[in-house]
Amino acid sequence: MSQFWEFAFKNLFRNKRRTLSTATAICVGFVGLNLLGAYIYRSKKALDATSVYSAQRGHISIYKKNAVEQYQVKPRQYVLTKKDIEEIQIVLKQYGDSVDYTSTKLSATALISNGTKSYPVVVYGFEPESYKKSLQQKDLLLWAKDWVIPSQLENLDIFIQNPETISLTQRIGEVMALDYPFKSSEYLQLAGKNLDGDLNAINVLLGAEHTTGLQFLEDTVVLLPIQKVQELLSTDSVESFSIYLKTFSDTNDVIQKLRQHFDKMKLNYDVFRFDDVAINSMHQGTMGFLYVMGGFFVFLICTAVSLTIINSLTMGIIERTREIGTLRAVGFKVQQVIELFTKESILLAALSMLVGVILSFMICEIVNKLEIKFFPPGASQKILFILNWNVGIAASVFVLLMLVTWLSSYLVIKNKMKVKLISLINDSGENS
Amino acid sequence: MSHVVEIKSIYKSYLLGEVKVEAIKNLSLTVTKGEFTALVGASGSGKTTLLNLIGCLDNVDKGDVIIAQSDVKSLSEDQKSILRNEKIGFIFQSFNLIPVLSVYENVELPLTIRKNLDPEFIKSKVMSAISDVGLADFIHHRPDQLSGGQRQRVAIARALVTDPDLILADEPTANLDSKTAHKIIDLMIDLNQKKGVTFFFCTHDEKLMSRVQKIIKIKDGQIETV
Repeated sequence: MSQFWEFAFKNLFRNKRRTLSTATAICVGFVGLNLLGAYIYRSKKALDATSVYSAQRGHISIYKKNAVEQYQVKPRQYVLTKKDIEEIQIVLKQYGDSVDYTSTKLSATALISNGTKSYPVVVYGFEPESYKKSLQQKDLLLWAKDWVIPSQLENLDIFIQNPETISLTQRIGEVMALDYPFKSSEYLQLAGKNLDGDLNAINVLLGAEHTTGLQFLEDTVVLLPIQKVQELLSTDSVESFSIYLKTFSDTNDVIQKLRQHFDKMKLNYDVFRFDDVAINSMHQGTMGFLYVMGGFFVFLICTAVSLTIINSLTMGIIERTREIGTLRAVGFKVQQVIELFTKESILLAALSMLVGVILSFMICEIVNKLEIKFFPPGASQKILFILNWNVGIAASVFVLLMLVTWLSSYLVIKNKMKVKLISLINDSGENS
Repeated sequence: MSHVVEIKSIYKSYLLGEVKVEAIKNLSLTVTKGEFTALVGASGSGKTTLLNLIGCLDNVDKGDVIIAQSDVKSLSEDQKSILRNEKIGFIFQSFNLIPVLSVYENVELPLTIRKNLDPEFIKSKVMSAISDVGLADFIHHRPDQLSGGQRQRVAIARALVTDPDLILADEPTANLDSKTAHKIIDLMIDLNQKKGVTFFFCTHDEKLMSRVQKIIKIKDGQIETV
């Protein structure tokens, strides 16, 4: 009934101060949740992009069955052979529409040395062509450009031009007392056990710098084209196969199909999503923390909004008891009175949140323009504090707070409607 | 003549603290369509209780209340709401107008909950009721912009707008000065005589009592004289 909305709207002006304070509480709650959502959204997008592209996992990683747990112990048994790769590629052809490109990865533990100083590192082997493609992906540049150092983006062809080139972090360079910026003519040696357990060593050319983005990996990880890592490990096999899809949204679908296919064909491969805890505990841990924190704040804000509405509406209803009685006397049913009062709260919440939409959007824009840099826990360098205002999050918060508002007001008025009609009419708190 | 109200041997008691008060005891009466009836009696005699029972605002302990051929006892709460909306109009001592609504909207209120009514029909009914009480120039005023007498006129228009079989008024002139009270009495009598509206009201106002067709005197919850 449109008159109910009109009536509800007029009632908002009955006690302007109370209406304003309730509206402020709802608006602040809405803005708070939106900003928190904007931060979590940005963090997730950045983590997704770095997991897929910077870390070269692809949207989907395929390993030999149980390789994630066993590769370090029995590497020869758990690598993907050339035959495995061919087998996977044949299967993948069925999903050609979704797949953008593929690559392989191989890691090894080794000792890096410049003749005077040696240092233990983990060598991540990658395909130079796909590395170049990955660092040029728009998702990475959009969400996590500041998680990649500029020289990485400037030297994308260096590994293609010279597959002997090794990339170090600045931290490893410091530990090894190398001149910084790195001189591209300096040869280093990598020594380690090959897959058969025999000692092996190769020469690599220092030529690039990278960051892992993570403090705990910054003094550990070096990057090297995969053929050099294979040379070090005396193998033509790889550790994992990465699939890069055209869109993130296809990931689960392709994973499901691949798993079904491998099961059906009795092929011994494990298929992981880029954020699977088995291969990317960092993503899971960070997002888990942010979701728990977000959930806690959602709970706090919903409780505060709910209590504000309950308090405000209870006060209003006490003052308007006789009015409720009058409405019932002229023929309003219990449900109609409940509807009238809940519409009042819903209208107030909607108006408050409309203001909140504008406010939260403006705050995001201002914060982003200020280009504030900060150190996220565990990060290797400062990154921009960016808040990505998102329609989906705003709509979800809107719906959530609407539900909270409706439920809170419904409970208050429903409780009041238990009072006998005659007691409502005879209430002395009338002000008309 | 058809009976708008038929009350048969009703009883009503309530608790005042821990004391049980017998407000109405074995009371029977009828109100015929077109009557202008005053219910009089001392304070605590049961006038308002009886009015509330007739208006389906409260339930009897025992006995039957039949309003416009509907046995109230057999009705659900929602059905009672519909009965109040369609058959009964209320005028309260303290007007009970909605402060945020205009005169027009206050009078329109009982019709807003009816389904499938043509907006033009609603408008004509509301304007007619407002004109009947002489407030056509005040339709956009809010209650706080009106005098006591004007507010009571709005309440009368709100009671009239649904063309009820019965208008119940609880001390309609109690909160008004004597001059305004006179005007309200004149208005009610006029509506009764010209439009045949049935009024049943309780009052202490002797001026009003002297001008009614029928007076029911109630004492200790029972009818003393008619």
